[in-house]
Amino acid sequence: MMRLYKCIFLAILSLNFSACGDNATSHGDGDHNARPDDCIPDESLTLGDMAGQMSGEPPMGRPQLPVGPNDALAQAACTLLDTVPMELIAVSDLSSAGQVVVTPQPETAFSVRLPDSGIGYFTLEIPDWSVTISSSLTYQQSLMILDDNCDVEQTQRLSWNGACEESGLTEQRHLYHAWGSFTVRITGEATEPVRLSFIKLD
Amino acid sequence: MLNSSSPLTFSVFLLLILTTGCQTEAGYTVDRVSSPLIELGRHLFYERRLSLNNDRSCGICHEQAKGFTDGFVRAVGTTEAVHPRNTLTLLNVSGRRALSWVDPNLIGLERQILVPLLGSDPVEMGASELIDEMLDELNGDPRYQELLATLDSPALDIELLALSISAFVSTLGTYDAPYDRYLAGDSTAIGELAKRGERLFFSHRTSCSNCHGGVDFDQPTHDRHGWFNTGLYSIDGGLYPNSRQGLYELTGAPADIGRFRIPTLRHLALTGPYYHDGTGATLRDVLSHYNAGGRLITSGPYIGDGRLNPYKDHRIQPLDLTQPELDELESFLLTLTDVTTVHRSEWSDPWLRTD
Ligand code: HEC
Ligand code: HEC
Repeated sequence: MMRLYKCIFLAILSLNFSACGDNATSHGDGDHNARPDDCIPDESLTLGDMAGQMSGEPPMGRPQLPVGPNDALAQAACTLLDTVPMELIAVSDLSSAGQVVVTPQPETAFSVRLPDSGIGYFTLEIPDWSVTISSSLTYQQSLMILDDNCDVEQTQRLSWNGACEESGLTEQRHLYHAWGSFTVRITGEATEPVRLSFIKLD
Repeated sequence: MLNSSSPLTFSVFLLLILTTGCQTEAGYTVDRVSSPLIELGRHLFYERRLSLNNDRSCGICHEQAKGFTDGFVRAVGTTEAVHPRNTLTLLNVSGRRALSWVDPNLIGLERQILVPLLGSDPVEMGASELIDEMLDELNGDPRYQELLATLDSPALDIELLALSISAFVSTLGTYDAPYDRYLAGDSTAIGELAKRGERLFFSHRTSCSNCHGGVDFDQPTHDRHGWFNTGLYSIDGGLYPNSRQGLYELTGAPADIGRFRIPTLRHLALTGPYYHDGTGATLRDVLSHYNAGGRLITSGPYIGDGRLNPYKDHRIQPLDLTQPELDELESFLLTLTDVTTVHRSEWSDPWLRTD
């Protein structure tokens, strides 16, 4: 758990101080190259390395920060709890993540079945540039986007959802500077499908 | 693939006329190598106003920096629907006969171009309903008026659009990778590891060159056709995932299950992820599947042993290559990439702002 928080802390540090953090809106209508110009990706770090560096442990309790009850994305995540989720079966190894592809769905939540290890992978395809996506799961589960920090940046750390507090939902937000396929790692219990939503900020 | 929606059928008809004769209705003469035509095609290739939501162009899914692919596992069109297949590279595409991963009858770039532009299954650019309005808008743009003036053409129509884009697309590609220079006599153009990999690639033991033959490494040397099942899946006794069954989807013949066109091996370093559906994450993963005689899937929705796929080509058998041998093969494959393709200004986006 400590390692997970350390990782998120580092992500926030890099958000504030790295070259990636500042000019997400610099691209205009005529330029799809939204990747921050001065961001230097760490080419030596493979997805496998990133996965290895991250803790496999889910957060055990409520994160420290809340998202307020009036926040529209938080409310949208609560509303999705009442819908029938789309079933996904995650794969057990990183290199197979491309076998399961999803795009963010405004009106659909996902129910992700994990392999026995409790760690599953799939691919999230972001079909546009400069998109903020809020991801929601519950306190016992965790989600990591295992990609280059120049293309994706965590803009809101893991928080608890105050719009439907009793549901035990967490929420975090990522800004995807560039479109593309991103690898998602979910950690939870193999016996319990993970209820997950990806909501796009309009 | 080609559906029967009327603008598409009409356009195909026009293009068939066009490609057989050279004087068009509009009165301009087709000169495939004329640079004004290519320059017009370059502008249209990168033209987002040709998509339903102004957010897709050919060049967005076929990006120069990524070897004219998009880096996606599977492409996503303007309506955000996921395409069943992975985006193919356009480098050296003029050397290919049948276009796309599956369709042996889709011949000729001018015809193929109408598929992403106007097709509805899947939607890529989604322009079918609006193509006339789109062309009107472009005809009103001074930049196009200038380009059309150099062609002595009064207006842009669908036939000139397809012709000019295909003229531009035909210019993409090179035969100047390190391996080409090595074959041309520069013995230092590739390293020792790659030279050992070359021997493996062309050996009976691997039979890679049996299928990946010819100058683009995409021509079978012994077969009459170039569509094969390489044992990537075996669901319920041999199927591939829905909507990714390959040639079978067109013919309905069980023997065609999982058969996809042999892809080129040129420029691979730029064009991952691999396979018809982008499920080969790295080149090393692809080589491991060949080494095992197919792909064993033990988790996720497609559990099954592709090595035992009954429709698999007989040449896809366990190879028993050692890790150093796999390094050699990979090193050889990488010598087929010409990295200068990423920077050539004549293929770049003319609409990019320079400020
Ligand atoms: C939404 C992304 C997308 C857009 C937009 C797009 N393509 Fe493609 N392109 C693809 C995919 C995916 C394939 C593979 C299709 C298949 O196998 O069915 C492909 C295949 C091709 C091929 C066949 C290559 C081969 O080796 O057989 C050509 C040529 C091509 N596209 C040209 C174009 C042109 C020209 C445009 C613009 C008019 C365009 N594409 C727009 C995704 C796209
Ligand atoms: C029986 C014909 C056949 C043989 C033999 C064969 N291949 Fe292939 N290869 C294919 C086909 C067909 C595909 C596409 C498979 C798919 O996507 O379903 C492919 C795909 C690939 C790809 C992925 C390319 C891309 O852009 O997606 C690579 C790399 C490759 N082969 C290398 C090799 C090597 C190296 C060998 C020898 C060890 C080899 N192939 C042997 C037919 C063959």
